This record gives sequence, structure tokens and C-alpha cells, in this order.
Amino acid sequence: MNVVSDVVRLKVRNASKVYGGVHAIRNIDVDIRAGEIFGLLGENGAGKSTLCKAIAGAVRLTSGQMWLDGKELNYARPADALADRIVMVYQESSLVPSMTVAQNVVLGQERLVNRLKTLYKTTQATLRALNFNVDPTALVSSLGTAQRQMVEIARAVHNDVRLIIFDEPTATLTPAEKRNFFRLLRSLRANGVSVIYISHALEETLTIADRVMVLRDGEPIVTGDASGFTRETIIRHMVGRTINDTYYATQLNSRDRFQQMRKGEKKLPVVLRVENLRMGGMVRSMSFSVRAGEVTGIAGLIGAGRTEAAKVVSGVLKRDMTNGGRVLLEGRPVRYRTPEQAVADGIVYVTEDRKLDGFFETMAPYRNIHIGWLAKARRLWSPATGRDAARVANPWVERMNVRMLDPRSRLVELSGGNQQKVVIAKSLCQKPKIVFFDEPTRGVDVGSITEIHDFIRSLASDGIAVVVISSYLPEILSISDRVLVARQGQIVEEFPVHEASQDKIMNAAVA
Amino acid sequence: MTLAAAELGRVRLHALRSQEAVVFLVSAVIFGVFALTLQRFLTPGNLSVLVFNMSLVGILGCGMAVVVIGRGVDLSMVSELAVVGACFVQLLANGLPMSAAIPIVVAVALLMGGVNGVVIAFFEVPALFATLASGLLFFGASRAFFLNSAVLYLPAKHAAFLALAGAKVFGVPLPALLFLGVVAVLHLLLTATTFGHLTYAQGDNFAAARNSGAPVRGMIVIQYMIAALTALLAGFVFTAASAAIDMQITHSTLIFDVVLVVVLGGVSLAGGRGGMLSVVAGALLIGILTNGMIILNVNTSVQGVIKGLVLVVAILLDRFLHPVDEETAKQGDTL
Amino acid sequence: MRNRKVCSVVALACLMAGLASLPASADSKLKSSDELYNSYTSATKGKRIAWVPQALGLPLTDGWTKEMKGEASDLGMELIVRDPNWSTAAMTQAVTALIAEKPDVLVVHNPNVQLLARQLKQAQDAGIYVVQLNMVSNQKTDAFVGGDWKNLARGMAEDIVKTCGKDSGKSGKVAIIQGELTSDVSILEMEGAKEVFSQHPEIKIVSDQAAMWDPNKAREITAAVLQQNPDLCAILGHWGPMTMGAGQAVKAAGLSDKVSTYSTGENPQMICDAVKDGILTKYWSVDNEKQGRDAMLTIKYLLQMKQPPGTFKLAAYSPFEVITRDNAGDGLCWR
Ligand SMILES: Nc1ncnc2c1ncn2[C@@H]1O[C@H](COP(=O)(O)OP(=O)(O)OP(=O)(O)O)[C@@H](O)[C@H]1O
Ligand SMILES: [Mg+2]
Repeated sequence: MNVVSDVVRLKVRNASKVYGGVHAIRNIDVDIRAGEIFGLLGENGAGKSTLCKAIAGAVRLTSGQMWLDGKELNYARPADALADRIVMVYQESSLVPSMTVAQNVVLGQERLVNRLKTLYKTTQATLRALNFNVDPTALVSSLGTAQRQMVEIARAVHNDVRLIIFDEPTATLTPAEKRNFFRLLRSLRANGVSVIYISHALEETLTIADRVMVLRDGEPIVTGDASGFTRETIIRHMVGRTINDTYYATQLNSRDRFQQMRKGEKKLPVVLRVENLRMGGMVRSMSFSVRAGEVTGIAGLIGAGRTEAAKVVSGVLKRDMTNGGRVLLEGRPVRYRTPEQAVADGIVYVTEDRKLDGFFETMAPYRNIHIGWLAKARRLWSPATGRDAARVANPWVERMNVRMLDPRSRLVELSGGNQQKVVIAKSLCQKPKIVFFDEPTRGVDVGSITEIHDFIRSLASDGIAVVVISSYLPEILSISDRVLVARQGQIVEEFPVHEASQDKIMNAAVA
Repeated sequence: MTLAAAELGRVRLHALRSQEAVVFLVSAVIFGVFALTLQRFLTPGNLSVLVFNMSLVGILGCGMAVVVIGRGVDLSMVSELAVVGACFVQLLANGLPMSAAIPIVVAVALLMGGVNGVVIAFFEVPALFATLASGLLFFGASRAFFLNSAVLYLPAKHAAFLALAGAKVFGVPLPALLFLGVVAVLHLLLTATTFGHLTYAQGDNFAAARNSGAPVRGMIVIQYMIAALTALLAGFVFTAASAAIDMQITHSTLIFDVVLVVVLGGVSLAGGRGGMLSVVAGALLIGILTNGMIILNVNTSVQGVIKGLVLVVAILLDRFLHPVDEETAKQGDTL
Repeated sequence: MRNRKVCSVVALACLMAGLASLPASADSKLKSSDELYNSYTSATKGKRIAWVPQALGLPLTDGWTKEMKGEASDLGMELIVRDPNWSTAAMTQAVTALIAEKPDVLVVHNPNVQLLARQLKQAQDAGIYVVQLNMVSNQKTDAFVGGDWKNLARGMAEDIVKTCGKDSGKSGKVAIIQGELTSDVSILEMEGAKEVFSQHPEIKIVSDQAAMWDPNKAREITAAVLQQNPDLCAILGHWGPMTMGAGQAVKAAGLSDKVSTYSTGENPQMICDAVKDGILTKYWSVDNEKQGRDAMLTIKYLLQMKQPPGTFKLAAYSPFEVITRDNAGDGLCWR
């Protein structure tokens, strides 16, 4: 369908990376051509990020060789790769929060004197070309996750590149932003740039990519033209067997589920009522209520104030001092100054940006989970040992199916999807009554998405009040009992799930 | 792939302790070299001087480490030491018995640590500035309202107090044992209590610890109080060693040595890393080096240069052992 | 010792000569003693003296301040005191600010030869008399009042040669504990001591380190040096309070009767106590209360001479006493 040249840009032979005696990737051979979009697929922990980090000079291969346009690569640092015009947009943010957007965009290639004005102008141009609505003079620390992702992308394309790697770039983008982004990818391709594209959104990848490769347990399973695959065949290659794709099954069943619920129970009790909540410019008089035993989905565009509202309710942020509205927990007005008080009352917030305020990178997964438990217990002087940590956390590691090469690895050494599972487990082991999930399946593979969704459903059936904030409408539709739509800091619509549809939600969200 | 419980028994709480291991090794090598080349290095007398001299910085280092692991820093520790030491001597000079003076200075230490903690935790002033300022405040306030002089001499009738520095137990100077005691207590606190685990979490990722519901504000206050208590202990040792306290110590490079010892052993200023063994390793290395350099009659400014170099090497070593992964690099500005 | 007294007489004579050589002014035609008295009071009354020590709260500076304050208030002069608390930056700032305030006289206690050189010149240009206390700057000003450090050190060194040199039956080993390598006092004292020691090859300087005016550092260094040289004969220190730290180490090592501890410095009571207790063996003492009086006298002369600043370069080197265990109780120290 499009003309991909046969010129091999990047040649990888026998690439292996060993961590602690175990292969993260093993004997990978791959050719990336000039001017193609190459999709890299696989389960969480399959080795996608590892392979790409090796290409971008962020990790060194244990064995194997790579050539870029015929020249053998031997990078010690990402800066070396950058010099060869290879850029990677990482799964987790690597921006400097205390600098402006524009400063971040030119980070690593500053001239001795960067004239501020030109700096902002060129950045503005790059952002506008991408149709990203971000102010180049804003501080990165003031941006939400999605906007940060846009800055990352802008930073990468700002450089005049030969090979660009995107690790899960679309997880936080809205459909419109995604369309812009794909347009960008195509124009890069037209200019002869090679693109490696990692994603768990299988259909998306199949549409945008020219060729795809599937990894499983660090080994290449198949490589071929994207047109030769379907969602089902990809999944089969990814997991090594046929699974019935329960993801869609759940979505289709939502109507049945609703009816079941109606039949089985009386009116579910409202545990949390938010009235006219206000916070800065982001949350402007937001009102909604949350019921025990129900999953409340909140859809909306980025910047609609959903995250902020959840953070205010759970004590992470403070609402406006005057006229801030009311939060009623089981009828009792509460105003939390710190999350500590909210957690004690059984309200937890599972963050959308796990690296920023979700996990403890130097600690092993089981210890991360244990921290959640300890923080809830709040008995500072009682004994707590590594053995206690394992006792508390191991059931969760198993239940969430967290996979890693070595259980003692630090959390940063886990693959993105597995990090997410740990972050969820850390909050759930606090036995909350009300849980806010903010983009809960970001970077999680298809199989695990289903697991996490099942999990969220089972929380609700155990009587917990669950709120899911997601920009991905199929996700909202598949797990919610009730769908709220946020727009510009207010809740503008509410649907029971059987009345909701993607169109209705989008209409309400943008109107 | 989860961890079998049996396997876990052996799992060290902080798997990555390679830096302190390297520092121990380097200390051993330097120790060996000195032992072979310097005639009287390996005498019991010199060794006891060596451990004595290292224990003062070591005790302060333990308190500093607790704060740094929580991603703070306490530059007021030497001021705290001087203030409690001087108040103690002044109280004795005013005729108070030891039994009354000690509880009072303990309270003073807790108050100073508490002020640091509250300013940092509740008013969210960066630790670097807060403790820099509070050091001056403690010093100035105590001079203005209580102390007669900046140099105070222990009254002769309390000579028994000098035993704190002079006494030896099985040939080991008492301050060295105190140092080990502090190491043991704080090691236990950090590795085997909820407070310790949460302190590591707080240092690793403050926002995540806070969001998890950890009582981070209260913990910060406690961490600075612990630092102040170690300063108090060091102040006692200090006073006993010279039978006097000279507040000019607040202008010495002692605080630099304390930070050096802590960072050298692998307690990263980025927080959440290292532990009490790191402090022991750092104190040993600096103790051995300083002792050797005095014996070799290396001039003081050169000693400073060498210590500075050691710190640079330690930082490079840290870089080498924990290469900065582009994705995992913690970009937030520390302190 | 006689030598020194002669010197200060000579200094005074110079001052007189300066007065005599003044061009005849109206004041030289004074008739009655009332007129004399009136000219004295009118020259001094209401004048403002600015005084910037390195830090207050030390026996040294407190002694000076006490004297100057007492006399100034008797004469109806105003004494403005600024305490930079050991910070050289604060000191420079304080002096600069004071120049703008235009006092009649500026008295400074310079930490080293460089620091205030420019400001002192500026002050004189602005019509302010500048008196330097105890340590002289590269910029010589209207007057200097302070110890004759080189000669004091010569005196100590000669005594050490007597105690430790040929025919003494001692090892001849000496340890030097300097204040700070770049300070005027340390530089001069080193020159004086080296002058003497260089003529006595039997004296071996086994250690020469700067303790940065810090008794604790002095104690650490001495403890290590004693391990290395148990037959050490003498310690030469540059400042009493600091050298007392060295004395404590000697005492802790049980060598008080073998090792003699020498030092120069001012004379608060604790020094006499230390000499009595054997912490210090012999002490070349400069009476800093008398220095305060000398400073005031010099200021009064400058004000009465009514010549523009910079006309004279006066000096008053302070007389000294040697304090030993025998005379330590004779009121040579002030309380
Ligand atoms: N620095 C490291 N140390 C130890 N193990 C590591 C390290 N980095 C990655 N691993 C392990 O290597 C395996 C592959 O990880 P990788 O991040 O490449 O997975 P991925 O395919 O990107 O997964 P995801 O889709 O979840 O992002 C995982 O099991 C991970 O735990
Ligand atoms: Mg990944």
C-alpha cells in the first residue's frame, strides 16, 4: 500500500541482554528499513523496551551487533545515539519538571547560548505542526500526563532524526490527538525516517505499521507485513496459544451485566457525594456521587478536571479555600489536607503517572506493595521486616500476576505493564472502601488489561465503590456501570452504561 | 515467579549496597598499606586514637544518614551540637546538677530538631535553606539569650563527665562504642520498623509515599529530631573530649566531613539509598585516611584537597556502579 | 623579655615624636588647664567609633569590647559594634556599610592580610581614622595595636630549645599546631619559630599542621601525633584556646609531665586555670584588656591631632607576660 524502500537502515543480529543471569531478550535478528513504520508487539515483559533501549544507547547489549546504515553501532550513552540521529521516546517520562516545555524540547542539544525568544518560537512551531496544544513557556511540572507525553514527542521530532522509537506513545492521547500523531508518523515516513512503534493497542498498530514483529519471552516469534496479521493471530503469537479474547466479551456483556445487577440488588448506597467542587482553574463546580458496589466511569478530554477532582477527594490536592464545595463521605462532610487522612478513611487514588507519584523505584515489587500496607496501618514503631513484606505482598504479586526476571529486582527493572500492576496492588492492599483508578491500564498488554478489568469488576462486586477515569472509551464502556462525562471542570452528562455509546460520550465531552 | 517465603528470609532489605562494599574494601586496602609502611600505625594506641577520632563524625553521620535517606539534609547539625554542648556546660556552670542538666538539653535538642522538621514538613521550605538558616538561628538565639560566652569550660567539679571520652572498655574508647550503639539502634529502626520502611519510601519517591497515606510530615519531624539527638550525643562526647565547648566549631568544616562520610558510604543525596553500614564504611575510610595523613604530616590544606578528591571519586564510583538509565533517571531536582 | 618592653617603649616614643612633629595649630597655644581639658573633651565628645571584631563571644574580643565600651561611654563617645560571627563575607559587608555611615574612627580585627585591604583604604579616603587590632593587614593604616607575634614565637622557640635541645636529655621532637596557614599571626609566628629552630638542628619538627583555630582538631591531631612520637618533647601552638585541645590530648595520653605545651594568646582566667592544671605548660600572654585600653588611647590621640586620616602610621605593640605554673595564681588573667 505504500512504497517502503528496501534499504536497510538498522540491522540487528543476535541481540541478547541478560539481567542477573536471565535473558530479557535473546538472539533477536531484525532489519528496520528506511522510511517504514515498524510495529513491535508482545506481552508485558516480552522485551520490547529492552531491545529499543539497546538501540538507543540507553542499555548495552550483553551480546550481539547492530549496524546503522552499514556502520556498526557501539553506544555508551544515549547522547551517542542522538549524535547518530537515533531518538527514543520512553515509556516513562524523562522530562525535567523544573524547566519549561521549550527548554525540555532542546534538552541535550543546547547551544552555549540559546536565545530564549527563538527557542520559544521554534518550539511553538514544532508543537503547532503536531497540533499539540501546549504552551512552550509553561513549566513541565504544571502539565498533566498527556501533555507531558506530547512534549516528549515534540522533543523527539524536533531533532532531525533517522530512526525514532516510540514506546507506548498513545496511551494517554485522546482520539483527536492520536489522529494528529498518526499523521505525524506518516509524514516522518514520507521523509524517509524509520519509526519503531511499540504499543499494546493491537488494531492501531496494525493500521499504522508497515511491518510488525512479535516478541515473546525475549525471543522473536514472527516478523512480517502488517497486512498479513489480524488481532487474533497477533494475540496467538504473543501468548503462544489461543485465548478467547475476553476483552471484547466483557464489553459486549455490559448490558447483560447491568440487568443482572438490577435484578440482584436493591438500590446501591451512595458512599461519596461531591458537590460543587472547585479547585483553581481546573475543577469548576463539579458534582457527582459514587455508589458502593458499582464502577463509575468518568470519561472526558484531557484537561477536563477529572484527575484533579479525584486528587482533591483523596487529599492529594487541596480544593479552593472559599467556595470549594463539599465532599460528603457517607453523609459526613470531609476536607482532607493530606492523603493520609483520606487513606485512613478508606479512600485511595491510583495515579495515572506511576513513575511520578506511584512507585518506589529502588525497592523490590513486594516491598512497594508492603509500603502501601504499612502506610495504611500507620503504626510507625511496630516491627516490620522483609519477611513481613513478603507475607503481605506475595499474595498480591500472584493475584495481579506480576512478572519479572528476579523477584528481588528493583521496581524500575520491571517492564512498564508490570510496574502498573504493582502500583495497583500497592493501593488495593490498603483495603479501601473507595478507589479512584486514573488510567488504570496504561501500558498494560491485552491479556493483562482483561485481568485488571476483571479485577476492578470483582472489587465492585465485593461492595467497594470504584471510580475509573479513562480517556479510552472502550475501556470506560466495558467496565463501568455508570458513565459520567466531564467537560471543562464539570460533570456534564451521566448515563447508565446500557444507554451510553462512544458517540454519545464524545458529543457530551466536546460540545 | 513470586518469591518463595523461604527464599525471602535471605533477601537483604536493600539489595543494592555495592558502594559500601567497595568503600569497605578500599578502607581495608589503605589500612593495609598504612600498616605496612607507617611504623607505629598498627599499635593499639594508634588504633584507639583512630576509632576515637572517627566516632565523632560517625555519630553525626548516623543522624545525617537518617535525614538524607528521607531525601533531606541537615546542615544545622553542627550548630545543634555546639548549642546543646554549650547549654549543657552553661547549666552546669550555673550550678545545676548533671541529673537536671541532661533532661534539659535533651529537650533543647528535640526542640531544635522539631523546629527543623516543622519548617521543612509543614512550611515546605527546602531542607537545604531551612537548615542553613536554622543553624544560624539556634546559634544566635542561644548566644543572645542564654550563653555567657562562645567558649565555655566544664566546671572542675564535673570532671567525672570527662570519662565519657576518656574511658575505655576492653581497650576500646567509649565514644567508639557509643558510635556502634547508635549504628545498631538506627539500623534496627531503619530496617525493622514501619518508620524505617516508610522513611526509605519517602526518600525514594516523596509524592508516592505521601499519596500512599504515609504520615510523611510527622515522619520528617521525627527524622530531624533523630538527627538532633545524635548531635546531642556527639556534643557530649565533644565536650568530654576537650573539657570545653567552643562554638567556633560551627564555622569549621565538620559539617562537610559529616556529609562526606555519609555520601561516601553510599547514602545518596537523591534519597532512599544506603543505610547505617554505609556510614560505618564512610567513617572508616575517612578515619583511616585522616589518621594516616596526620602521621605523614600532610599539611591541612592538602588534607582538605585529598578529602575532596575522595568525595569526587566516590561520586564517580556511584555513577559507575549505578549507571544512569535514561528512562529511570530521577530528573527531579534534589533538595 | 626586657627586649620586648624596650620595643613597646620605642613604639610609644614614636607616637610622641609624631605628636611633636605636628605643625603648630591653634591647640598648641593652650594656656590654662581648663582649656587643655576642654580641647580634650571637645575632640572626643560625641565622636563615633565603629568596631568590627571577627566574632563576639570570645574572651579575646569580649575583653577588647569591654574596655573600649567602658571608656567610650565615660567620654560620651558612641561605640557601634558589628558582629560578623566569623563570616568573612559578613565582615566585609559590615565594614562597607559602616564606611557609608561615616563614623569618626573604624576599629577592625582583621582575619588575614588580604581581606579588608581595599575597604580600609576607602575608609581613610572617606575621612575615617582606621585602627587595626591584633592582626595587621597588607594595607597599613593610621594605627596598629596588637601583639608582636614574631617575637613572641621567638621567645617560645628559645624556651623550647632550652627544654628540649642539646644537653636536655630529651628527644628534641616538637609538634607545631598552627592556626590557619594564611593568617597573619600564624605566618609571623612560624617565621619567628623557624628562625630559632633553624639554628638548632637537634630540634626536630615531627608534625606541623593547622588546626583552623579549632581545639577539637588540635586534640585529634595531637592524639595521633603522640601515638607516633611517644617521646615528643614539646608542642608549640598559635592560640591558647586551640592549644588547650592539644593539652587535653596530652593529658588523656598520660604524658603531662613529659610533653610541654606552649602557646601564645590572650589572657582570660581559663588560661591561667589551664596552666595551673598543667593543660598548658608555658603561655606567652598578651593582655587583651590592656590592648583595649591602648586602642582607646590611640584613638584619643588621633582625634586630638586633628590631622586627616592617613597622615600617620602609628603602632603600639603590646607588652607580654610569660605565665607558668608558678605565677598562674598571681592575677595575670582577668575574670
Ligand atoms: N534493568 C533491569 N534489570 C533487571 N531486569 C530488567 C531490567 N530491565 C528490564 N528487565 C526485565 O526484562 C524483561 C523485559 O522487560 P521490558 O521492559 O523490555 O518489557 P516490555 O516488553 O517493554 O514490557 P511492557 O509492555 O510491560 O513495557 C522484564 O522481565 C523486566 O523485568
Ligand atoms: Mg516496556
